[in-house]
Amino acid sequence: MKEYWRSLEDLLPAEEATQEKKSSVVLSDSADSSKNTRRDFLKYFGFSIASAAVLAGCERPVKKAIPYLIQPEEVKPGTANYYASTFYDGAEMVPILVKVRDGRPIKIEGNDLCQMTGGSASARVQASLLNLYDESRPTQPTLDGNPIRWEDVDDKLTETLASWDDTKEFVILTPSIISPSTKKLLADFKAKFPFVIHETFDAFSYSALRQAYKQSFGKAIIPSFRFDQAKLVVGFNADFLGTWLQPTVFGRQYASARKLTEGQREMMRHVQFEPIMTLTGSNADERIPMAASDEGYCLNSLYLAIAKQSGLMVAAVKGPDVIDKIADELLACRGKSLVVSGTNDIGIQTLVVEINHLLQNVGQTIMVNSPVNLYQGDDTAYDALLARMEANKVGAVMFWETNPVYHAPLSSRTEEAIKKVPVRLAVQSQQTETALLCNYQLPAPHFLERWDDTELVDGVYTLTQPAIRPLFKTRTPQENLMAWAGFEGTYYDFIKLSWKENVYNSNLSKGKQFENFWKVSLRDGIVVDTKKSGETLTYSSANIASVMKNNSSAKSSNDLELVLYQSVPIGDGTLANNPWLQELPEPVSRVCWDNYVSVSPAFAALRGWSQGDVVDVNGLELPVLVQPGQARNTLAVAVGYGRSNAGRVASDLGKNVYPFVTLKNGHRLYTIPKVEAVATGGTYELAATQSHHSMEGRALVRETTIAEYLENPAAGNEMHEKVEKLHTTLYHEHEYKGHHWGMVIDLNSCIGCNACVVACSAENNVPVVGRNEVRRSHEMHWLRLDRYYAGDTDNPEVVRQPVMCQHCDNAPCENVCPVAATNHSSEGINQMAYNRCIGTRYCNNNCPYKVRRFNWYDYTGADTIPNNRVDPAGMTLDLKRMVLNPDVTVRAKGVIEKCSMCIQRIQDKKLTAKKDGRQLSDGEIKTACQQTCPADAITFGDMNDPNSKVSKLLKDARQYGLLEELHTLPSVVYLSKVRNKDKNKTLS
Amino acid sequence: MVKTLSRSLCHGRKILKFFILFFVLHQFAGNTTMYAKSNGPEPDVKVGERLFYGLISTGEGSNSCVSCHTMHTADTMNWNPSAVEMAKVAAEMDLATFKEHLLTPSGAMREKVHVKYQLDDEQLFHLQGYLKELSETGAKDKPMSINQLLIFLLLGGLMTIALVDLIFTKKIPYKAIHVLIIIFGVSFQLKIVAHEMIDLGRSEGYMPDQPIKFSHKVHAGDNKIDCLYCHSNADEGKSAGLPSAGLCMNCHQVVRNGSHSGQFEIGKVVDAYENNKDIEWVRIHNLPDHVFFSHAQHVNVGQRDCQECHGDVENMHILKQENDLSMSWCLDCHKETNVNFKGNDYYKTFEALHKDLAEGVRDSIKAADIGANDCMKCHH
Repeated sequence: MKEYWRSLEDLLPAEEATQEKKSSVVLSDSADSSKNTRRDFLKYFGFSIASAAVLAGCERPVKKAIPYLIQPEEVKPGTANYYASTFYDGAEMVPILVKVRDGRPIKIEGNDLCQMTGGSASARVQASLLNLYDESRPTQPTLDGNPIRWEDVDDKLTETLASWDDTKEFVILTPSIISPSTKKLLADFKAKFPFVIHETFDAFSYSALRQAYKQSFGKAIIPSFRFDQAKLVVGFNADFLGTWLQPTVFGRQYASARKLTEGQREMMRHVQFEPIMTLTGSNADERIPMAASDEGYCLNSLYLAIAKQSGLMVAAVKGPDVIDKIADELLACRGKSLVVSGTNDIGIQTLVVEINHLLQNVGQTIMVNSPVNLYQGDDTAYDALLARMEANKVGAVMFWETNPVYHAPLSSRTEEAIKKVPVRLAVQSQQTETALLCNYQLPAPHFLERWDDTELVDGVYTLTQPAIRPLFKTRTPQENLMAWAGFEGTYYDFIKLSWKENVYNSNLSKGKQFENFWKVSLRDGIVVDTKKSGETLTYSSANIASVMKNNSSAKSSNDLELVLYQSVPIGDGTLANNPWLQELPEPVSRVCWDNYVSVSPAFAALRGWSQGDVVDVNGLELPVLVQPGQARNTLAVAVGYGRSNAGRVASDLGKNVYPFVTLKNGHRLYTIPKVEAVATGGTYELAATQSHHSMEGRALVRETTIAEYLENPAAGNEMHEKVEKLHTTLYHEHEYKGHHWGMVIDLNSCIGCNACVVACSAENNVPVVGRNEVRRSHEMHWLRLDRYYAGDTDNPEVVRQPVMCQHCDNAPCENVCPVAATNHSSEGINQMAYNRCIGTRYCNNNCPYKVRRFNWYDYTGADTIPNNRVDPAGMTLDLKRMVLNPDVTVRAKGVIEKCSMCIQRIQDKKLTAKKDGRQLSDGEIKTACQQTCPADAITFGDMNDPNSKVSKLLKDARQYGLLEELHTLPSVVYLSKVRNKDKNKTLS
Repeated sequence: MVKTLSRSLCHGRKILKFFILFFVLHQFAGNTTMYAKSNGPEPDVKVGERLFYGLISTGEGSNSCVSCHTMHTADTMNWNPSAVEMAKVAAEMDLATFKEHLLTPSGAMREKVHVKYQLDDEQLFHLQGYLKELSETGAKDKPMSINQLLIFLLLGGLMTIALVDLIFTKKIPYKAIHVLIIIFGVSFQLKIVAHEMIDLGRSEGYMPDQPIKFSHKVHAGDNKIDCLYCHSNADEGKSAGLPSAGLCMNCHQVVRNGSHSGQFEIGKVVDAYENNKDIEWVRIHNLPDHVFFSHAQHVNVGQRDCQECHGDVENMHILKQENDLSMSWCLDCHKETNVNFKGNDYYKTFEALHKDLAEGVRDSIKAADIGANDCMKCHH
């Protein structure tokens, strides 16, 4: 079997590693060594006696119960309501359901009526809920720092607009608007005030992709990609499972095309060329490290190879072998393949379009006739806007949820340009760097507090509806425009009218009156007009020769390159002020709370750098992370960090690398071709969850190749049969008379997107502990995604495994608890009674999976004892505590906690079934991790029910238990991973 | 030194106050016509208080005010407005209205009781002054019950005597008596301590004052209103829910005169409903935050009667917590209570148990048999 290693420390000699660890432990201990003295002891002793006396002497506090005066019909105390809505943060759009308990949104779930996402949601969608309860949000309108009433804002702006100097522009700078109603409103507003100019600015640019389609298809579009229709996907520097374009949708398509359950015998093959190890690359069947500057060369070669074999007259240039092999594979999958690139370079994108055209993929895996309305920004237009601002041609600028000071390249130029505009309006739902430069602060509500609609793809409409009244004195940008233009009614009325006029038609109404149609639409949250489709676009050849000339056609020199990328948790940095996202480890590096410069092991060895050394990259000091699989002369840093004005959590976390972004051919380029990097001599401890739970050299993730699997379904999993034969025990076995809950995790489906981790945190009130606590291995996530490397450090294979409590039938933790706080339920769940736990941590010590978490401090405000708290992210504030799930106990200091298999959901659905007097149906109960999983990798159900999906999956020959040789009899079962590659014949 | 000085100063002030009070009082007593001449003087709260408590006669054969308008709720329902509630109403009135309300009242009950009151304007002035103050300060804390403490101390004393006699005085010849007393005393004291500790955080018999004298006996008992009419959420959700004021108004739109309390208590509901005021009920049944109890499970699925846990509510004027709501109380009931195993299709899942029933291995399935006593059923 393969030798896996989790991180580079594992490869080091054992002694060295432990020494390093020891020193860091000593250091951290001395840093905050306790200063408890005898006096303190007496103080606490006295306090405890006094409090005991007070407790004994006092009556319980009087609790008030205040009923409604008039109870709304649909609101029942203690019962959750779900409202369909839509998440859109300027980058990704996901239809959602908002769970509202007693008036408070407490969880976001994917809307399962959406066929694109199938009810899944990404980590960022899940976490966006916490931004609602962000104490750093702007709370009221201000003018030059002084609070002002909305009425006065309206008076002033109406006057400004009425007495406008027509030679100047009134610019509204928005992110890509996908709302048809907002578009209509903007048009109406522009019609009333002709000097108004609407410009689009995306935080992360995809403009080259649009322009490439404009060259080849005559219209600047982003097509719909269908990874599920492909048999071979070749990705070039595109993290389509993590951050590129529509990761939730693509993740779902990708996983569905690679599943081997339910009789599927074929699986899509994925080859990835990339400079850095992305989430997508780590999932690839084969991955080839490629310097970012070599991409043009590779694609040129690929194009030539394919063009030649497609019968085009092209020059015969010998490319790299690997490209030739890929070309052959692609040609064999004509019309069933997909080539994508994530580089914002017009030359590269044009070539990719051409390649896909030659492979006849357009119309099969690339749907140009149903374009996606995301990322409409044009980088050159923004540049022109800056020039107009500098030339004093702009009289007012309204930053509508945009933050160009942070996101734009050369932000100092943006800053200077903004200062030249006399009237600057910040319409933001969060604190931004741009708002600091504005005289009007006009806070906007969070998306869970307002009305809106979207049309992502032509004919696919969704509604955004408020799930709570605005917490602060906020107003939507749309309502601002309506007030200033003197339009009648609210924005809700406007949307409704616009739907009546533009959406509602005979195809959708099915005989329903509009009012009825509107109510149904609101309930479903999504309406699909199948008859409405986009413009039919036809291919017209682009000037390939000049494109190829522009692409550097030779292999690059040995200059050090810097690649800027979006990390999976933080993305472009818009939602950065979010403790859940900051604490979420990056899926590949497993580092949280910081960005860093990642380098390849060979390069680190060459420079003599090791993990945590601080290096100076073109004047920016960043800690080093040694990343196996990275291209050799490449440095990589994540954008989205180093916010200077984002609020309490994200401000001054990491470093901002957006200023490095340059414009190339009018498109923002996220690769810097030549940088200098020198070690400063300093060190910095990154908060990594990496080698904390190392499970040394055991068959944890089992894998095989597709050929072997087809021959023998149990390939790679031979050990399971051997272990099964040794099944014997001295303990009496549990008997499950009713349900026996179990979970199956398909490692072949899991793409490691970490959405489940945030979903779990949100559902189960999992604490946020902060950077220092993570450094001390005190992270609290109930569910983690272990990542292991195998093979060569320059280009390792990656496997990953979600690990949560395995709910062992023969649980080692249960036997050692001195107070029986953890024991076995009659339904097979390893249960944890927090109020019984006395914090010995014996269970933690005895758990072979290391899934139990200890509350070293009070992280969420469970008690009122001073000095118990560690709260770096404000999670004990009343406002943030509104996010807590009232069905799950908030754990106090000194108790162990762990995955409960979402027992509150099990109880809830069981009760529903009992009330209805029927048996539970399979799939009715979904755990939080399962529900949000885009890849459908997690299945939960009753193992006692022979017809349940779980029972069927348990018959799969790929199934095995984690560390099953220990005879812990886990209720969580894994299905082994299958790679679509030839064992003996690899590309590279 | 400083301390003693300030303390003596304090004493000085108190004495001074007393003298001033005495002087003023004396003046009033001497010159009754002074009040009529001018509206200037402050009411004498002390006189008002004495009148309220009946220490100064309020008229031949009349009861003191406090005998009906009590400061604290007793164990039985007192339908009259409590002293503080009444004070709040009186504080709002001018003297003439107050006099009219007090001496020539409307309403059957008040007419009967208030008829014997003979108060002059000055007395009324003082009385209202006292009520005004009472409405601001509220009732003083209820004196605590000291029964257990008394027994505890008594035993302590007895044991001390026994010990002293055993070692020094030696009046009682048999040492066994001393030993018995001490053993009995220690064990009884330990029992008291243990019980007090177990009861820590429990509140069996808790019956706090409510903002409205709502009687479950009148509603659920006399008028036979179904529990679920008001607490409809018990059938559906975790909490039973309190009826909204709107729901109360379903009946009280018409029923404005209570059989016991006249218009006063019902008036509060109407006032809350019409003027958008919250009614802040005092919660009686409190479970700790780490306990998740579902009414729907017990009322809807388990078909339990409300009375099994809440006691004889239809005979309670004042609602009180009947059971201690301890964990052992829950678990014991789960061990004894039969599950409606054949009536609800949900339980078809438990095939093995159905077989046992059919074969006569068991005659019934208790809640605990199907996991009702699992930790995570209530603690998640």
